[in-house]
Amino acid sequence: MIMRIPGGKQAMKLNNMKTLPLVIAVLVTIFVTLSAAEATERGSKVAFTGGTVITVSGPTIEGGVVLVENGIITAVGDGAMAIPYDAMEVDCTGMTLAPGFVDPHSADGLDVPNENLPSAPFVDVYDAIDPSRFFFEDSLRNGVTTIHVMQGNNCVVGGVSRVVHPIGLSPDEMTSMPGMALKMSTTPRTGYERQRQLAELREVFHELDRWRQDLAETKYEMHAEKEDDVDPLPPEEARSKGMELIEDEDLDDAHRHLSYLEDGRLGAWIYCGAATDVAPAVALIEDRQWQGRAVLVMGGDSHLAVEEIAEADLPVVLGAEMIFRKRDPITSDVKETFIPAVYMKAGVKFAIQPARSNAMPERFLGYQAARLVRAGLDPQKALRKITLGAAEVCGIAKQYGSIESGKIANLVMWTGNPLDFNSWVQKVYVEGILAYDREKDARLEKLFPEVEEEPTPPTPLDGEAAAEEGADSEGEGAGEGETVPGDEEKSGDSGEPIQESSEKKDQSDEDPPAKEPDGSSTDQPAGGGR
Amino acid sequence: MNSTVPRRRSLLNNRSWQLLLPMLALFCLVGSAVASEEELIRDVVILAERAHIGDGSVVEQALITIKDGTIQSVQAGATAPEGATILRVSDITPGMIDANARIDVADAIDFPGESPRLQILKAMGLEKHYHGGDVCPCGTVCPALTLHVEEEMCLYCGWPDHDPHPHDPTEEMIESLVSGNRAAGVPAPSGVVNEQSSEVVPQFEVLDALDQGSDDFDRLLREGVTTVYVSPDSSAVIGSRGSMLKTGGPLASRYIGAGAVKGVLGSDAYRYGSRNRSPFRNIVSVYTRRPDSRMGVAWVFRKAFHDAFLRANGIDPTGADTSSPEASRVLSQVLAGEIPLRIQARTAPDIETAFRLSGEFGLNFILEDPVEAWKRVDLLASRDVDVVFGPVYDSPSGILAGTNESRDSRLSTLRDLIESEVEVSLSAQDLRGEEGLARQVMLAIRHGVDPRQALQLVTQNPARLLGIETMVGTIEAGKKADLVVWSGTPFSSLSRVEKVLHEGVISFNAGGGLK
Repeated sequence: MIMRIPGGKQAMKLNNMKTLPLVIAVLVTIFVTLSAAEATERGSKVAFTGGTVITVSGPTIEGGVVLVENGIITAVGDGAMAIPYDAMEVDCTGMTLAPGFVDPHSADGLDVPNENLPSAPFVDVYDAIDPSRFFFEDSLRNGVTTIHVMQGNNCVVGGVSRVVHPIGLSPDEMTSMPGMALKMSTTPRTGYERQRQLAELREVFHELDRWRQDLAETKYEMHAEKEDDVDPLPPEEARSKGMELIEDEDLDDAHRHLSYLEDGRLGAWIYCGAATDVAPAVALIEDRQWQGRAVLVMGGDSHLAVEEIAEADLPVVLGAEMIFRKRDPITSDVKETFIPAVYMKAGVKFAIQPARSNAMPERFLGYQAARLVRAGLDPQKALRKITLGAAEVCGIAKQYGSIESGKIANLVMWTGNPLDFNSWVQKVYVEGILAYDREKDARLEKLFPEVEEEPTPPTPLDGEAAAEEGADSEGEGAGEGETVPGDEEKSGDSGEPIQESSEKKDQSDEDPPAKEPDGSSTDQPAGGGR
Repeated sequence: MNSTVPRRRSLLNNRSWQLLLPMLALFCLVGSAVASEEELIRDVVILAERAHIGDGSVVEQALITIKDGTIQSVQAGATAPEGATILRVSDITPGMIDANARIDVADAIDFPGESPRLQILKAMGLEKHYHGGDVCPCGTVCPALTLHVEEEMCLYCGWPDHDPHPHDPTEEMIESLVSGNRAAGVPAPSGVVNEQSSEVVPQFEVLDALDQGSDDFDRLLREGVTTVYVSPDSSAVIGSRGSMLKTGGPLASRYIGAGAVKGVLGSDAYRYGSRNRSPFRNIVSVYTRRPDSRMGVAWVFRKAFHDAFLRANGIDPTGADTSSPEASRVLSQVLAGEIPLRIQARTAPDIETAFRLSGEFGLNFILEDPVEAWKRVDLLASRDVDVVFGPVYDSPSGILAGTNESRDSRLSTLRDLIESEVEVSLSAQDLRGEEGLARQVMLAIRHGVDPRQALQLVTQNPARLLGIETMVGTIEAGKKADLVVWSGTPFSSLSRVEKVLHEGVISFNAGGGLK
């Protein structure tokens, strides 16, 4: 977890301090309770074999093998690749293995989408992430394994976003990469009009500049005093020297994240809810030199400014609603625009979101990508849009978005092509650990129960064999007609169905996430378990 | 051809009289050429890699011959005749039929100014805050019940920023209500209408309120829906009759006929409608009328048919809430089985009431929108009732989120109904998403319906249900050539509607738009 955190040293330290012991505690307790000897062998290495591997970054491999070690993909190859003797094998025969989808921009995991203060760059979504949100569960179910959780659009300057996995008991457990980007908006927030919105947005950065200059002067003075510098520099030079002397410890809460944004440690995500809001956003990005880490979050009719966006060479995240409908005020004709097609045509790099409503197919990210295919995009490129492409827009492409060596092992096992709506997410692995299993999805089972195989009806007494059977079942099940399905359920819960040895291994490894609640309650440092 | 005639004549007027005769001859030639060209358009031969007939069968390498807008023959593996205009396609299906569409009608869409609420807001300079619906989008108690701007925060309750029940089990429902309403599109989700001068209005027909040039017909056409049953909404116990229309072709010939009388059991009949409010502080006004419970709804239903029965037998019904003679006349035709009856019953108890009431009068009926049919599959199967089901969803959004009758849905309902051999038609109702009905079929297939049977849900079955099966519904000789050409496997998420034909004429072309 340490290596893949680009920004926010403070947060990073904090996070590692918190998560590592927790994770270790969880793993250790589980391993200890199971078998100490096995623990060292297992869990660390997993081999996904036999499935069709859609790597996204490279060619699709039939019967491919994906090796995962400590949650990181270490090798991808075809069936000829050697599998380490100590790796747990996950049989994917007949299944398709694809990288987990990336949700590039979501406030759904937060308790409320926005802070009430107009400008609150000092907050972090960390404090608002609610792991119990149905959204996270549903994300896993739909094959989304990486979520860029960001504050909503109703702000002037919002807090810091982070990348999370949709499983875990606390924001710490879920967090993969803290300190990603700051949210801003050039579209007026509630109760604001455009002049006020933009004036306030500019003022945030003017104030930052003034504050940093004052700080630089102070720093220089302290420096000069300390060094006994009898011949102080003129103010201008003093300031620029002082700027270099500013350290993270000198930053106060109000200016810390803004300073990180200035020095490149945070990205700038600006919401443009209308075409008219694009120009100020582009101007701000150029003025503050955020190119390369600025992303526009689109909404409303902002696609009308597509040429400006293409010229500024900015990536965008499209709104959740892909069709824009506008009624002509004079003719009253409703004109429909399929927004992604506009960006496809202009060659702007974009990422898409799942619908933020219950709209049945549209809330599946895979279906949203299928819509791009219907609009003429190549299926492979469409899949890339919701995996590697989205990761690139978020600046996390080194860690996510494809199945290749060195990336985090967020893998989704599909029953078929991920873009085909008849494919189901069978299993989801987050950092190589089973996080979702369709067979055990209680909510899905309620909404879409599997067709129960008719329990062999108790045949009328027409022969000896029938009579014997009847006697048997009476003896065992105490007269319950439903003993057969009931037993199955029970064995499913215990996670130890009587199966082949490889399957059994598989199952026992699947236990850790399921048992996490128990493990984490022992809130001890790593040493405690040993 | 009509358009070419005057143009050529005006050209002729500029010529000298000497040229008149030769030009006339030429004109006749050109005229006949144009006529034969039009014939060619109507007389087309389609060579399809796979023709999905609509009755559950698929013909590979099918040659479909169309003459005068009617299918002449469907042959497998036949070679195209010499000199015919051939349309080569990969997959073709019959045009889809939506048997329960709720689409914009003139009353609701063209005269929003009629809303007294909007007039008040305009006077206050707050017209931006009009969202058109009766239900507050935040789904909670808010003093500003009608004052939510769609994309903005409520001035009073702070919606959507406020979170009234952060961990309430209905949280998702609230979310769905909010975003669903927002996603419902333009205009606000009120685009349906029913007559409300009485609770019993079967003598009216929704056709009179329809704008046949509405964009919604184009939208349906683009989706591949060629025939549509426009239903009135559910704000009267015995509502108006629906209308059957084509979504394309010449406007004058789109209307097919009047449909069933719509009965509504459940809470909609007393919850919805601008002139149907429960008495407030005992103030009874023109806006207040019965019923205001399910018992009252059942009573109105029963009384209406009883009145019709009495009148049919020459007895004048009595009582303050006697339905009009005109209504009785239509209902007696329903009693005689001449006009079909549809009953909207969403919850399991309402479905049971529908069977009970229809049993009292010996009525056959079509069950509409039985959200909770999964609870009474046995009942539906044993009574041999036709069902219009849909849309498929797990948690309600859009207009559906506005009623508490739609919450207990299951994704497996269609599969279970079909397995129990209930004849089901699938409808997208008012969903305005991309390719509404086609996506419903996609959802049906995902949730356990065999793809071939799934096609029947939107072609053959609704055609039978509407009584137009001799005309449309399958690709068979003698049927109208209402067809949909797909870019690949029909109803796959990756394929789209390429062309739609009405009676052999292309009325929508994905490349060229609407014709």
